[in-house]
Amino acid sequence: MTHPRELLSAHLDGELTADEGSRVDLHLATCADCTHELRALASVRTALRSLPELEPPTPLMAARSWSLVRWGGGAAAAAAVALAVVLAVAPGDRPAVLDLDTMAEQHTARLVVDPGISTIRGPVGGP
Amino acid sequence: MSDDAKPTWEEVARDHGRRIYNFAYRLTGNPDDASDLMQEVLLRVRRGLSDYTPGSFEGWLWRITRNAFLDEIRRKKRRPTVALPDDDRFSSGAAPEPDEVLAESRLPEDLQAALLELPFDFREAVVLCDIVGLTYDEIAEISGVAVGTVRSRIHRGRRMMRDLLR
Repeated sequence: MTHPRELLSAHLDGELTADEGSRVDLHLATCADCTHELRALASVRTALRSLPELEPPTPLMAARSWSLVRWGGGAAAAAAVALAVVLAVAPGDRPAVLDLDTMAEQHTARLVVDPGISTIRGPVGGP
Repeated sequence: MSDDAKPTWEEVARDHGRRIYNFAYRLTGNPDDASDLMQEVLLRVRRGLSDYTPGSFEGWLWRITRNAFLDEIRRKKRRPTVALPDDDRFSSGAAPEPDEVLAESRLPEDLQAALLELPFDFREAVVLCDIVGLTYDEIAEISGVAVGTVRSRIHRGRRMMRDLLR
C-alpha cells in the first residue's frame, strides 16, 4: 500500500469506511513516517478543537434586544439589530450598552402600550 | 433539538448564536465582522423560519450562515475566495517531517493567525469540522461539494496549519 496520507485526517475524524480504516491501521503499524504525520495532524486537530469558545458581544445576546425583534415589525427588527450592532462594535464605549438597555426598555414599553408601533419612523429601513 | 422539531427564532439565537459567532470569528479573525455576520444570519433565520421544513436543521442553519458569510465577502470585497494553489506545495509528495508538530502548545493567537493564512476553501472546511463540529457529510452538503473534496480540504488545511505552526 502506498502511503495513505490523504486519508490520515479522515482517519482521525472517524470518517473512513471500515475497510479504509483497516487498511490505514495496517499501514501505520509498519510506517514510521505516516505515524509521525498522523501525530502531527492530531496535534493540529486537538489544538483547533481546544481553542477557547468566544462569547459574542453582550448586546448581541441580550434577550431584550431580540424581544424587540420578535414583537416589532421588520423595520423595528432592523432598528433593534442596528442598535445592537452599533453598540456592539463601539470600541470602549461601555455607557452605550447602558443606553441600549434604556432604549430597549422604553421601546418595549411603547410596544406593549401601543402594539401599533411596529414600524420605526425615521431613516431606518426595513428588510 | 430533534431534527423533527421546528425551532423558534429565540431558540436559534439562544442555542446557536455562540457557535455562529465563533464560526465567523475563526474565519475572519475580526470581532466586528463576526458580530455583523451573526446579526445577518439571525435576521435571515428569522425571515426563513416560516419556510423551514423540519429536517436537517444543522444543514439548513449552516447553509444560511455560509451564504451570509460569502455575501458579506462579496459585498465588502475585503477577502475574496482564494483559489486552490496550483503548485500543490502541500501535497503528500514531499517527504514527511521527522519531527511532530507540537501545535497544542501554541497560543490561540498563533492558531488564529495560521487559520487566516489558509485558502478560504481549506479554512472553511477546517473551521466547520474542528470549530463547529460538523461531519464531513454535513460540510459537503453545506458547501455543495463531494465528500471526497471535503476530506481533501480538511486534510490539506491541517497540513498547512502544521507547516505554518512549525
